[in-house]
Parts: sequence; structure tokens; C-alpha cells
Amino acid sequence: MRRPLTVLALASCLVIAMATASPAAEPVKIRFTLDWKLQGIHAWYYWAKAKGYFAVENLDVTIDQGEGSAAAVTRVMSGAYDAGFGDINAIIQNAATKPGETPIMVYMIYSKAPFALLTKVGGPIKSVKDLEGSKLGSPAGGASFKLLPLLARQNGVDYGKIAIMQVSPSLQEQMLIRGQVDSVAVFTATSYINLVSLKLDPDRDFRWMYYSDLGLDLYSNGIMVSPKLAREHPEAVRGLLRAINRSLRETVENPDAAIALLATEEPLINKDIEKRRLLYVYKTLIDTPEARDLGIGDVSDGRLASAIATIATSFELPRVPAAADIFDRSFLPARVDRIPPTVAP
Amino acid sequence: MTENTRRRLLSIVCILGFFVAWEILCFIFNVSDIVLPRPSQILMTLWTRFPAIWPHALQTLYTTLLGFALGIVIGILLGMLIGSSRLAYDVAYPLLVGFSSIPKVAVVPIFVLWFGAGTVPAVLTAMIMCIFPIVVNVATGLAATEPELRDVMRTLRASKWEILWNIGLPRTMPYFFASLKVAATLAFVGTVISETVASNRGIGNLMMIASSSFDVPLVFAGLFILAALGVALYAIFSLIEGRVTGWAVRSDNFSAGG
Repeated sequence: MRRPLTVLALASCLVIAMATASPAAEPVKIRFTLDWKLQGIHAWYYWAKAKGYFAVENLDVTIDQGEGSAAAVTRVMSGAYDAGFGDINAIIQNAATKPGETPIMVYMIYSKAPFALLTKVGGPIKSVKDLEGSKLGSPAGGASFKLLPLLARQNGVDYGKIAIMQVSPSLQEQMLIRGQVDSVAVFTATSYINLVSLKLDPDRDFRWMYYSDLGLDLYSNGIMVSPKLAREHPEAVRGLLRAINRSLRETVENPDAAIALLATEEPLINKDIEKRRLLYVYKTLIDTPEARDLGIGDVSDGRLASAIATIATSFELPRVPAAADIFDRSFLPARVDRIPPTVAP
Repeated sequence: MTENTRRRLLSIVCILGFFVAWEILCFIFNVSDIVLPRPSQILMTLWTRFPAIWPHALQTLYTTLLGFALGIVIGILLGMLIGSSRLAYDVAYPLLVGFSSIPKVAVVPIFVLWFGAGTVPAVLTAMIMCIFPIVVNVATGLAATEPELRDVMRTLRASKWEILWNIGLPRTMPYFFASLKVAATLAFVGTVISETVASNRGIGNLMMIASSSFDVPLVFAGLFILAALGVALYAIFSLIEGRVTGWAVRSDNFSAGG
């Protein structure tokens, strides 16, 4: 006759456990995925973790490295991750076919998209018009490549007259340097640093033609959260953004300390290269005139609507998703806290 | 004995010669270290950056061994089932062949969606890479047991289980160990595939980080570590194989005597 006693004991334990657990407010667990392997541009997430900014907001954040900024979106959609650093254009594409399941962008970081055409200064391509009849190299799956037909149409270039060569991402700069192609469609943050690693001067010897200056004005990577996290723990999302916003500004103001801290996480990174990557990305993609006007993290509604329309046309989406399903500014910290810091040139 | 030492010496000289030739050719043709680093540069990288490299190597070794162990257990069980039952053979074989034809690079992102990045997908990938050869060899070994031995056991009123334990499994050992040597190297391949796609640690991750800053000597250092780990595991299983299935290997002395 000991069984009823055991049940009673178990039940009372459970009641006590529940009673003690709820008022103590357990930290909210957030599994966070990056867009790629550890690089200088991820310094602020590790900074926030190491300095305890996540803990202050009662968050328990685990950071995992990623396999691509579009894959980060599917990782959050699968439920394996609650939040991540990923590509808004991939959110737009997924929102068209699976509305209600896609993550929501809550803090835009790259307010200028890193898609560009790269050519040699002495080469035959002086403007986008010269693409006709020239050889262009690009990896097949890259976003820069997929947007190319639309870029050509916007600029009155006959896409059929461009000779396209498929090249692997690790070889595209080499192909350009050797003259096997006249231009390459690249991701600037990666290409710029590749050229530096190849001991070349990316500013003096190469011309960068940003898609955003050629009529394709898109947004890019930012912080996104799962709809479930936004619905069930809105305060946690606000806390996450407060912590990341603060770290981003401190990281940019103290790049050496930030990279040194990143190197304790992963001693194999090349500190000089990662610092240069961090500052290059900050200056070209984050500290834009729009970010100075609206603050880092926010977007212009008009620009976002036209970016969604652009993606819907170039990827032939079945429907155009509503801007409210893509971006939500209600979790952002106050604008005074989001003013981009200036860095020494 | 002298014959043996001479053979061993010759093989060591040939292997060293390969690396020396690599070194000299790189030097003569002035090959840039971004294209192909010299072995001396790779060894220097290994030596100077060992404290940063070894947690990665340890992670890869750990996930590989775990995946390999799981693969052996599941492989033996499946192999025994397939080798001793006609129905299991007909059902499981096509499934197994189909499954092992899928490129494992395509499976890793699915594991990541289920379990998140890190150790779990790496262990699972290593496991599924090494199951197939083990199952096939165990099943083949069981199928190749001489029917005469089985008949003798049956006349002695042995149960099906006793026949499997006393005749089937010992006969299977040479096949099993041959498959282990293949599976051990495949397990490393599986782990590294998974690590290049989704992980925070491991040789695959090291190689991705190194190649994103064009640190080619470090990429090669990762390859060297993988090769060394693979050779070590292979050697360990050869040793165990020699102990367990010595009867199946005809040594030179034995054939001379017989």
C-alpha cells in the first residue's frame, strides 16, 4: 500500500516545483544562427555574449555558425533555431509561398545590399552598358547572379548578349585577374577581402559597380526571429535587439578589442583580415545615409515595398508578400540609441 | 627478419621521398603558397598553431569515433538480420542500396533542420557513411557459411541461435574486419562533410574558416591531421584484425610449410 503515498509525494514535488519556477522567471533560451562561418562581421554577437549583455536581458543565447544567409532563414523556419542573422530577400521569397511560417526581420543591419559587379580598372568595362558582348563570370546559385537579368533590363542592356560563365566562388577573382572574364558578379564583403588576401589593392585596381547604384535598391542581412518567439516572448526579442544594438556600436568603436575577443572564441582567425572585413562592411553596408537618417535597424517603407516588388518580379513569385509580414519595427530600441557611430578612416 | 626490416625501411624511404619531391618541385617552380604550400610550411603551421588546432582535431576524432561505434552496432545487427532471414534480405537490401546512393552532402542540411548544427549531425553523418559496408560484409559473410557445417550442427540438435553464434559469426569475422577498415576512413569523410556545412568546431570547420581568409597552409594542415587520424584508426583495426582473425590470413611462413 505504498503506491498512493508515492503518487502523493510526486504530486507535491511537482506543485512545489511549479510554484517556485514561475515567479523566478527562467531565462528565455534563444538558439541563434549566424549566416556563415565565424568572421569579423560576427564580432558583436560574441561581444554581447562575453560582456553579459544577453544575461542582463534575462536571455540564454547559444550562437551557432551558419551555411549561408538564405539557409539561415530555412533554419529558423524549421524550428531548430529561434533567431538568426539572415537575408531579407530569402524571407521575401519564402513568405510568398509559405505565409505565416517565415521569420520576421526585426533589425536591419546591411541597409545596402552587397551585390555588385567587379571589374578591373584597366579593363574593357567602363559602365554597365559595356556588359553587352563581354564575358561575365559568376557562381550559379549566387543572389548577384540571379538578379542579373533584372539589372540588365533596368539599365537597357540586352541580357542575351552577355556571355555568362559559371565559376566557383573561390575562383571568381582569380578568373578576373587572369583576364578569363571581363567582370564578375560578386558579394562585396567576401570579394573585397579575397582581393586583400591575394595581396592586391581592391580600391585602386578594381571598379565596384553596386546593384543599388544601378536601379536595384535592395536590403540585405539583418536580425530575424521566428513568429513563435515574437508572439510568445516579445520582451525577449526587445532585449535581444537592445543587447545586439549596444554591442554593434561598441564593437565598431573598439574594433581591435572586438576582434581580440573574437579570437579567444576562435584562435584560428586572421585578426588583421577580420578587422578589415568588419570595418569595410560597416562603412559600406551599415553606415549608410539612410541608417544615419533612420538609425541602424530601421528601414524606409517605400524602399522596402519596392525591394519586395523587385524580388517578386525577378524570382517570379506566385504572390507579392505584404511588407508587414517581412519587417516589424516595433521591437527596435529608441532611435537615439541606434545612431551609427563614426569610425576613424 | 632482415628481409622484414629491409621492406619496412624501403617503404618509409618511399613515403618520405614523396614529401621531399613535393617540397623540391614547389621550390623549383616557385609555386605560391596560395596555390600549393610546401610540406615544410604545412608542418610549421601545424607546429606553431597547434594550441588553436587541437580542439578541432579532438572534436573530429570524438564525433567520428562515436559515429563509427554506433555504425558498427547498427551495422552488425542489420547485417545479422539480413544474412539470416530471406524476407529481411529482400526488404532491407533495396532500401539500403537506395539510401547509401544518396550523396551525404545533401543529407547534412536535413539533419541540421532536425537537430540544429554541431555534434549531432556530424555523428549521424559518420554513422550512415559507415553502416553500408559493414552491413553488406556481415550479410555476405553469413551467407557464405558452408552448408555442411550448418548440417553438422543441426544433427547435433543445435538451435538456430547456437549455429549463428558458433559457426556464422566466427566465419564472418574476416569479412567484418575488412569492412571496418573501409568504414573507419568513411566515418572521417562523413564527419568532415557535416562539419564543413554546419558546426562550430572540428577539422571541417577549421578548413572553412581558413579558406575564408585564404590561409591555404592551414587548410592543408587540416588535411594532414585528417590523413594522420585516418591512418591511425586503420592501423588500430589492422592490429585487432590480426589478433582476432589470424587463422584466416595465410602468412608466408605458413604457405611455405604447407
